[in-house]
Amino acid sequence: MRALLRTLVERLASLRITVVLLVLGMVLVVIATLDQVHLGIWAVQAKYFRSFVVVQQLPGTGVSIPFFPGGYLIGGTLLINLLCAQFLRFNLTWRNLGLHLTHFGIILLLVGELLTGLLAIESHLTLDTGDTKNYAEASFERELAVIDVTDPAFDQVWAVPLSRLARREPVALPGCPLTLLPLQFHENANFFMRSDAPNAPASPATLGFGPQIVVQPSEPTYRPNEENAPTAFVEFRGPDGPVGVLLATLAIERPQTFTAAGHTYAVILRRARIYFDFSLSLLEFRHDKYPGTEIPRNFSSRVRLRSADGSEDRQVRIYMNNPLRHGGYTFYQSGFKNNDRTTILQVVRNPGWLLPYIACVISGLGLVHHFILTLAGFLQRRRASATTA
Amino acid sequence: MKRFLPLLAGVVALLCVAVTLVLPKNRDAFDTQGFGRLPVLVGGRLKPLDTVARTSLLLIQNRQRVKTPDGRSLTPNQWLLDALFKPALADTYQVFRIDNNEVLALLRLSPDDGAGGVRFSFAQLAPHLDDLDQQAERAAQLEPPEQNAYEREVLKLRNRLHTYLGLRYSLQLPESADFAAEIIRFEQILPEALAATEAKMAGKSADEALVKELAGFLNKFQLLSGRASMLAIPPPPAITDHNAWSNFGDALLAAFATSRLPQPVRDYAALGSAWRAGDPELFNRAVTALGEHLVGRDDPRLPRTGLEFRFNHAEPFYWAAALYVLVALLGFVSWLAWPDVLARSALWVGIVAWLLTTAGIVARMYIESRPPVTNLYSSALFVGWVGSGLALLLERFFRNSIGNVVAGVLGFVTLLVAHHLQFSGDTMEMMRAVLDDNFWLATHVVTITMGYGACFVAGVLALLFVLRGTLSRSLDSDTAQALLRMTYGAVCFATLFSLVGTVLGGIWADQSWGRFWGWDPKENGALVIVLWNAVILHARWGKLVGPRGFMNLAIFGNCITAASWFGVNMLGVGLHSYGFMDSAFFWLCAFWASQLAIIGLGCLPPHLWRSRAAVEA
Amino acid sequence: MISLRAPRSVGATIAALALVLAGCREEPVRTYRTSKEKLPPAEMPPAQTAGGELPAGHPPLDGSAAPAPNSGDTAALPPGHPPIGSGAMPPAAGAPTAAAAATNNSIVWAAPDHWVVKPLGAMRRGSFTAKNAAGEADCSIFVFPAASNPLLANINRWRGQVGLAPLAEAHLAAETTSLDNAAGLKFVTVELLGQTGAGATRVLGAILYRGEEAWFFKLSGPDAVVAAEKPAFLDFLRTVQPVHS
Repeated sequence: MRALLRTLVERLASLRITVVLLVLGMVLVVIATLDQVHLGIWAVQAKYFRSFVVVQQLPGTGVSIPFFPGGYLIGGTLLINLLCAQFLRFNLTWRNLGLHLTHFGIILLLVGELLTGLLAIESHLTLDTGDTKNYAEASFERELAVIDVTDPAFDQVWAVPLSRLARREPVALPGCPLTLLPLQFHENANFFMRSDAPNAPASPATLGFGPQIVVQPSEPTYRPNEENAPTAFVEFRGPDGPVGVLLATLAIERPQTFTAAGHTYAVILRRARIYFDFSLSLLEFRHDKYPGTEIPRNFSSRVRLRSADGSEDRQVRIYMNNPLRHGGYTFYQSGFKNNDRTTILQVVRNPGWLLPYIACVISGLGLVHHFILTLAGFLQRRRASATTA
Repeated sequence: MKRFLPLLAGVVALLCVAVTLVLPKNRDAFDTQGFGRLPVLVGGRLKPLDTVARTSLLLIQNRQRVKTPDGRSLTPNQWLLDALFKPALADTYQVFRIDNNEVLALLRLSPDDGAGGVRFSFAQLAPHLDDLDQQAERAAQLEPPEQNAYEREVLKLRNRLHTYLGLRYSLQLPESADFAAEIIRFEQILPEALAATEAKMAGKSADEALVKELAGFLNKFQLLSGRASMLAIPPPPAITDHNAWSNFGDALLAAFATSRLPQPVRDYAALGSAWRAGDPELFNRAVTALGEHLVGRDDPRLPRTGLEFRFNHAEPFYWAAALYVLVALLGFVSWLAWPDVLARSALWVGIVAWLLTTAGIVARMYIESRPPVTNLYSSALFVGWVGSGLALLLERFFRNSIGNVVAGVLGFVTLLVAHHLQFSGDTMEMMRAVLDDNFWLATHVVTITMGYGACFVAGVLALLFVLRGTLSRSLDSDTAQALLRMTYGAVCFATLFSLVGTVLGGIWADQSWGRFWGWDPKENGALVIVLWNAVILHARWGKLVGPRGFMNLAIFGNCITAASWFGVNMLGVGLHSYGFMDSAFFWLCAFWASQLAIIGLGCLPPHLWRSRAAVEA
Repeated sequence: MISLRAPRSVGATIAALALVLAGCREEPVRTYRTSKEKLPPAEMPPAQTAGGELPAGHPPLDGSAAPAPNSGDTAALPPGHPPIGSGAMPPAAGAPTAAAAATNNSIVWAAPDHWVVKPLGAMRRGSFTAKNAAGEADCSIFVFPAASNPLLANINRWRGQVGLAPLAEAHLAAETTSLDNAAGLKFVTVELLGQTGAGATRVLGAILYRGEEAWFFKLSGPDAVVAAEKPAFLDFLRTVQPVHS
């Protein structure tokens, strides 16, 4: 049994496997980079890197075939290969310390990237000058928010992920008398006013703006400057039977309200919200340009940071290459709009953010160590051969 | 004698370099060199007019020389003076490069109409500018990856015209016959005319003609203020804000409030009159006056513009390229005859060429106050500098002239590439906000570029191995072993710097937009280089490849490095691509094809190699 | 701060790994309570329900990839081919039917005699130069999908072109006038005066919503020229009529 295990580890630790994996990884990175022109950076990450197998739909058919190992598979196998090799050939001497450190650093880097892929949440915080917000809006996730606005003191929110709407199965809202039944769901859609398309079939919607809008499903877009408008027709059912059907779409930026079972509900399909226990207010946004040009020199936001419990209240300047790190979140100056009146901060929560730094230090030390030893050996041999010659 | 010959070669090369430092004389009585030395603020940077002339010409026509229709040849400064002050004449110079036949058709032109089939005058383009503008507006709405060759050329031509028109409106109204006289008249009537205007607004009687004349001036100056591309008028000496330069129109408009004109406005107007009238004495006096106006200012950028002027004239990279050719030739011949003398001569000349590029890069760093690599152009300079430096270092140890040839080839080719990269305008342009960080430019960008340089050194060494081994009998076993060791060293060096550079890039990305790794094309390019170098090293350590395989892998490294360096820019997507590239794609493909052909050669079985000993050992 | 992160990240890792191992479990509904957000009025204002408009201030419903406005013009050309702009128009646009036949438009017009026809370019449906003693102005006619081109956004687009601040919805009625012509077409017209790089610039604009199409008529140029051409432009709008097939 032990012998078998040892053979297995020896096989897995083979340098041949390492080289094959490195080449596969390289090819994966190259084709993924080329595919970015079509899919955009985010879809490419999901398709190639955050997957076990890359699946390609054959053009013109509905058939999808796996055609290349994905990032998780290659990275994972490389990790196993590395671990086995370290385990097998681990004999720590001064000479090979550098190489061990380098490989250990790379193991950490791979683990760090895996953690980032699993745990990091990217979102945006858009603030007009003078505005205050205590939440960020996710960059990619969308949610259907059902908000009970009856109580004058607070709002009760049920946030339904869109994956649940796509399943078209009833969704129960815990603690709420309403149940959702998604009737239709589209990743993206175009819209017309009914008055402009008088011959369109009647809308399934009975509540809110829906009846006046004609929905035309369309292909999802991956272009960098466009956003999909996920759209759903959702039936609400109360304890006494159906309440009505509502058109929810990202393109309608305001909540639609209705009353059921004595409560008033506001419903909106929006970017998923991430609430903080502190708030940020934009005091001033600055956009400096080089004199006589439109070349941006710097963007900066002066914000006021206040914690919910009042223990903290300070001013912070966020600008290019100088983010604010607070409460496990990092706020980066990302963009602006509205004639420089509105700032867009990118908000990232990445519990594994420190790992790459540690990995880099370890790898770097290892490489430098190895390089210096190699160089010293080379020079020594030259000198030796020079004296003998 | 034999001892001193190599040293002599180095000294001769050094003397050639020293000659370039002597400033050229004016061609005629006009002090156009003094004019070229005057600083202006363009593109956010204080630079001499000489640089404006050269970069504008490079952008507009991809070369600095101008031939007039009557056969005279102009220096860049003479051309600039004509564009500024004799626009009707300058409009007839065929300087606008158009390479696309569809664009020519849009402008109702054929290649036969142009100088060399590709250069056309503003006068030829003028009748159809509206069509061009419409097409350009449409093309500008497309993302760069979606533009086709025609649309890119339309946008390029519009940019060229924009540059030219900006100059035309920089120091006078092109339509006016005698702008200096108009300005004098404006200054004369200003106090009275302002009073008359006020009186009129208050409903009192006023000199209507005077009010109208003033309104006419206002209109003209507004036009200038909107179109001028240069900020030519320095702030008054009392103002401490070094960036408060204004364009000619703004300076004239400001006179409505202050009632007096800044002296440089008068001097530039006089300079223009003198140039038009062909009066060298007045011209030179105006140049001197404009120069003296800046004497004694504490703006640290002013001395740098003086150095930049010298730098422009010395053309260090041009001369270095020539010397590198010599190095490669000497090194190559040394394999055939007089190995010792020629190899050492090549090394000395190589060292001079390398010191010359060093001086050029340092001068650029001082002028820009930046680390060496800020854009694609400077990355080409730096790749060459690192590559030939490393090759000369190898030569110092191995003394087989291989390092000389590698240094010569790499130095020349990278400078050639750099030459073709300067057509997009000022190569010392200001950095956009995200990139504006000297710390990361100095660490991440420099290390990654050093990695490129080392990869190319390994690749060229491997090329020599395959070419010499398959095509000649000159590759003996000792040289082959030396080449293997040199290539291995270069690959190790490349791995170290690519990995460190890539990781530093990740840290920068984490600092500036919150992701250590975003799978951005530029990052992926760097990663692919690291992976490939790791493949080469592991394949060798695992004894999966012999000498031939190892060398072929290193040659393929050339393809990968070139793809990462240039190909990524051509994808046109990504957060921090250095700049969008146009037609270099053809050359990239040609380069790939040549490398693959040589790899094919390297794959020949050992018995077909003419130097069999090299691969069988 | 760093020391706080470590234990939390370990916990989160375990949780995430557990989640991954559990396979494709359905994502849960999140429930939470927030303080009151100042929600804008959510019900449809009754006055606008009849017109089928979205509530005041609502951005246009064009969150998705709208078709390129000029796709109709270039669809028949091979990719990479430059748009065919000139040569399709008769030398004078006197006869409305000729213009309609050449361009396949759903409406036709007759330009004033002293306006000069220009090549169309890729997107323009009509293009003229209006010349008078004071200089030249440009008259352009475009058509875009009505659904993605609401009135306010387009008037603000024009305002931006001459350096004027955008208008709020509330001031829209005060800043525009309407013009009904004999053919029964309703234009919303606007007159703007602002500054551009070329000096004082005046814009006369008219927008016509017809079914799924929004037609944009614009005369722009130096203040004096456009001011003098105003009667001609209004007369021009009166000649616009639908094509009856």
